[in-house]
Amino acid sequence: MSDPQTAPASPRRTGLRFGLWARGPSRWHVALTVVFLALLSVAPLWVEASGRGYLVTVLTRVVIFGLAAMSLDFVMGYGGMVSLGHATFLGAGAYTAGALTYHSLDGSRLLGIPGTDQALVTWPLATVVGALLGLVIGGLSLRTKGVYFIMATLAFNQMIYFLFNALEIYGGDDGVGLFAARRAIGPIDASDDMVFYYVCFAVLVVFTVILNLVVRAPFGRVVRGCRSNMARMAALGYQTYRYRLAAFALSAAITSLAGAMAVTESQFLSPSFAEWTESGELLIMVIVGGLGSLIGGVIGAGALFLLEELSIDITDNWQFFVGIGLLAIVLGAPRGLTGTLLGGRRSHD
Amino acid sequence: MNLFIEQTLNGLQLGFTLLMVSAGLTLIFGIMNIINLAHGSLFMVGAFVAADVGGRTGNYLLALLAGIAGAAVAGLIVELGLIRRLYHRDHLYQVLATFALVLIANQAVQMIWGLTPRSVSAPAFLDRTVPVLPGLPYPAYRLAITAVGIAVIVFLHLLVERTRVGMWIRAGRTHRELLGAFGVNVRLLYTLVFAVGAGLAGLAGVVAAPFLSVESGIGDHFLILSFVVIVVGGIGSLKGALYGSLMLGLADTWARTYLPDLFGQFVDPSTAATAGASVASASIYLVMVVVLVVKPNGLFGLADE
Repeated sequence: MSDPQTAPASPRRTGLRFGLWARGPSRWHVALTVVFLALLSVAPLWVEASGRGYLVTVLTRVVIFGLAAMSLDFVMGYGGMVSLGHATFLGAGAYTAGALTYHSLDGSRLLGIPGTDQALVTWPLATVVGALLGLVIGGLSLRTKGVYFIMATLAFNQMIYFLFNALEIYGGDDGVGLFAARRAIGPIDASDDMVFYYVCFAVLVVFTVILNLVVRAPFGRVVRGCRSNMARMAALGYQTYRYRLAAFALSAAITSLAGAMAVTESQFLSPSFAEWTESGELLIMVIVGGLGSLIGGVIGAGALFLLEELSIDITDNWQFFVGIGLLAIVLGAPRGLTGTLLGGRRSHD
Repeated sequence: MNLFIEQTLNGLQLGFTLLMVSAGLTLIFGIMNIINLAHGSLFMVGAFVAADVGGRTGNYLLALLAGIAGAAVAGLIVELGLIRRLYHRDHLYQVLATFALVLIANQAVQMIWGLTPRSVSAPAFLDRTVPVLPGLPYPAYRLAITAVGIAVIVFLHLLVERTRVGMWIRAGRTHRELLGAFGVNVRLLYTLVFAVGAGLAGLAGVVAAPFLSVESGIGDHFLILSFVVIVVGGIGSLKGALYGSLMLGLADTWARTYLPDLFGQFVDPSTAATAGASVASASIYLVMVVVLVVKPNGLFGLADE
């Protein structure tokens, strides 16, 4: 009986669990979080002032995909659930918001409901859809463990991707442009990129606070306990499956919200949101930023988009260099940017 | 009835192609406990090398051998250069490192062979139909793939169950350290198993190439299908890979053939076509859902070793 997640079966697993994975939120993480969010709060003003206003949309994508990566870090870094299928929820959010917007543009109905491009409707609805889908996919995938879980989440990802590809009404695999839609968030007209950035930034700040509170709350402690030693948590009387499922659904909901924000930002709906490589890229963001730090997801998104922006003029093959860089990080600096920034300091779990 | 037989043969052919990819993946996972996302890239390397050599020489058998050899050599390089550093790392880092390989490989084939999709044509001597039943001609090439698939599973079964190397492979699943203590060169064994798995992925890439357009990323879908096979069949089990592959191949082919008609009994034809196609594309994943509910460790899993 050697269950990889419940008992320290072999020395090769314990080393990592007590080293990397055990790092919880410390005051250094809080300080880094505040500093990085402060940087993000002035970054668009700075790029605008320095005459590179086009970078505001890049920053918006950093904030949106950073939110998704942060919620992936929540299940992975704190819950110990390695999901290679979070693009599923990115796509679900994008298709919920995108479909409603599409139907508001041509005045048709979706399952009898009139469409709308009001983000105060589409974003919360996408969040709910993400939570429900997270309950279903998480509920099935969490019946497995370890490497099966990785494969199952990836498989569901591919299934959803093909379903979106089959939706001919939204352009099938080509997708559909929604450029005529408004970017309305309640009474705010966010068609201006700068205004839209600050709306997204506000959402990011809210969920950064929420997730940081959740991982410190009793609920979060149980979830972290399941990562460290599931058998012990079960022996203590916790329903580990339910806690892990709730954490997974919360993460799915936030990722889905990010997907809805992303489609409002790009005003283009296509299955590429749900492509499996997108799941891999979210994983890269988390690892580059630093696993188990929450803000690391946003830092990783920033690093990745910055690299893309810098190299796109030089080479068409920037993914080649992302791959090389990722190999270097995995082999050389497995603690990511956050871990390296915080040096050898051990945080208190 | 003829349609059913034809589609069943198509399903078997898809299943056996899938088996060539997933058998290597499951052997590698079973003995080395490593999750390798780049297995699909080895499929792609096989297809590209075969397209290149086939295009130059026009000789299918030469292309086939070159595709297998190319993938096996690529596998050797990857194992020696990267994978062996990952055996003792967590699955998360194996996923990341091999995903990095996928990104690199997908760009590398574009840098080497350009953006234009290539093609591999079926060999001339198989480019005809044979009557499997009176009045039912069937492409010889598809039958040949099924035959190759059967040969592969028989070869692997004999290798694992009847040879000394196979004994080491079986021992390596459960008693890695002990195997080394008995004087077996475990590193060499790992490299060997990895190269065999890579060669099989390359073989699958070559034989499937005539049905596909050979372009960057063609192996990714087969990689994910192999994961579904492994979730259904159970990790590390050849038997699981065999039954899983055939179940998925048949489920996919039958669903695509019959679901649109079946839906047509209840709703109007255009809705039926769309809904049928969507559900058919999801059919293999629905098989996986059923297995996850009934037997989360897979039908023939070694998880409770």
